Amino acid sequence: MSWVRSRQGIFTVVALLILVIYPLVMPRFWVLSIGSYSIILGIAALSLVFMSGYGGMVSLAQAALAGFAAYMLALATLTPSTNATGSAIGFALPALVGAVVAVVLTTGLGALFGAISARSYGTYFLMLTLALAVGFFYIVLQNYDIFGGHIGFAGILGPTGQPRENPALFYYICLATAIAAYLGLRYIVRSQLGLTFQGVRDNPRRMAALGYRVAAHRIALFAIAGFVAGLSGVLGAWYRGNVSPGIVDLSRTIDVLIVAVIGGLGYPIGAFVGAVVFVLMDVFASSISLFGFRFDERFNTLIGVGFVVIVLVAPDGVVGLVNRAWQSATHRGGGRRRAVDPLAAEAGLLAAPVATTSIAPSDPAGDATPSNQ
Amino acid sequence: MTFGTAAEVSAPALRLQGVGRRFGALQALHDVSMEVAAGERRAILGPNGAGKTTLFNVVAGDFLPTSGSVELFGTNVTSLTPYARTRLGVCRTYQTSQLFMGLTVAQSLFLAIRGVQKGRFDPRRPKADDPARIRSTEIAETVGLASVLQAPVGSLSHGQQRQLEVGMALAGNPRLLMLDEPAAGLSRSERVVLTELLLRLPRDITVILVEHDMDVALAVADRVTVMAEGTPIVEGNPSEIQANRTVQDIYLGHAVGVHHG
Repeated sequence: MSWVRSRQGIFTVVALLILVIYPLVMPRFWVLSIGSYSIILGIAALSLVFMSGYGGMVSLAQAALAGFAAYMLALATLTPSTNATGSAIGFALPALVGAVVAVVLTTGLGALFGAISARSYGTYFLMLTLALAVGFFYIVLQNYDIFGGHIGFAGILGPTGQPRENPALFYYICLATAIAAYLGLRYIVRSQLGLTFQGVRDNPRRMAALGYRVAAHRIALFAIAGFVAGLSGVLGAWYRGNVSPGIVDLSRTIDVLIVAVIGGLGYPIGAFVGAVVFVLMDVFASSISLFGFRFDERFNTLIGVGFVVIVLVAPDGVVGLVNRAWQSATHRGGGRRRAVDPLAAEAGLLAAPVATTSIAPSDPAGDATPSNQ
Repeated sequence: MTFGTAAEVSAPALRLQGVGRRFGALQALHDVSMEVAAGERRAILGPNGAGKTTLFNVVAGDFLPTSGSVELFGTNVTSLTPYARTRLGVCRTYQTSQLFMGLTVAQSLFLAIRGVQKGRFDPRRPKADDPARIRSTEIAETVGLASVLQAPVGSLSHGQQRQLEVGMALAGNPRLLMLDEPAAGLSRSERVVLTELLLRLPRDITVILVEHDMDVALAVADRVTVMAEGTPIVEGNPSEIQANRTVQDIYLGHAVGVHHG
């Protein structure tokens, strides 16, 4: 095991070195539009992977939560006069204070979304969170007094001003936030609270029989995921400098799900791998030509085909694919399909393999049919 | 363990009065009235469809009764949620194992211990000397799972999963322990181990046991209730039950060795 651990240690150090050196050697476009944006999208996907992997809750509301944080940041930091629609809301707080306010409020909204959806499972949970996301989109689209309607807000400045002024610094802020969120979740999943999430994921009925208020734990999970999505939303608002209903529309909602699935729903690190793959496809699909056929008008087709291929070839995502290839190459548990959580590599008492999440509805009342006595 | 007031101590562990449960057109339980004294070992027998598991679900709170009342330790719990009843000291196992397939044995027992304690939302990691971790090791030894403490529950054999069912119920410090066919699917030697485990339980735990295996049920039980068609029909001590003609006709006569879960 120490061999594995040292191998993983070396891998982690090399990966971190690459991530740190990256903005120093790459052009601005690669630092911001590829690097920083991948990290921002990855944090949003991380919140979904956390919910689905450890709570069995596949939520479509994560983009809405991130977007809510962006709006709250705009309202907290802008002055009323910079409000594009001329409404008088805006608290002119410093960027970092505004960020804290936005993330705290988003955590609260996550709890509220949780309170609404915590008693539904599987497909019903998916549909409820989708309804919340779409509902939020229409609220910001149609409300001009608070959310600025279809225009939204512009002129949002981060603690370092515009990202383009110092791309490397903005990239480092994103990277540090992502690492903190990843390590924080990694800590929580092995805590008492994190174990309750996994118990609820595996068998909510048994959790109730052990003395747990299942709904309350699912609400807590949603709030934590809201916190993480809020981080993504704040960084995204600083990255773009503006917010508009476009950041919470249906395609953004689905993007987060696609990123998580590409990376592997059972793997927290997969959120970032998936984000990089997604952003690269998104940026370069239009400039690729295949057998003389150019995709500039049909780059969405290429993204869609890529997504389908990944789902068919690697249902547990790119990370799952790499993991299996690695395992069969090193002759250790070669045929195992079960997703083993990379977070749990240093297997202690509270290191759990992440169960593969299905979107199928689970019956919390198990054998609760009268014929089954 | 908490100690109740004098009234609670003298109250029966379980009192059902006129309990009925209807699923649409099916009357699964019909006018069930029974008392189980504190510390008693009660076996509930009856053919499939007699309402035994429904009775468990009504007592544990998974279903609310459609009529009648449920009292635990002198407290009316008829409309209480399952988790609230568990915190009152009702722990149960399931006929079909209800386990955490993605967790390890140690983690499952840890959750079961912490479920009836404060700090269920504690975001900190338990330390190595956490009392609940030490206790989970002890329980694993009690139910014969010490060697697979760190194994994922999904990798356990059927017998080991049944042992974990019992272990998780014991972990909640039960005052009333309800076992729904704990021997289902166990081998003969595993049944002997289970019977010995049940006989060793401290007498301050009340045990209600649904079991088709007569060797297990009659060895453990002080008293036996026989149910048929959703209602208790005979109650007595094991030898009375074995001698009862009605029971032989409706249950023992054609059921022994046939039903296994």
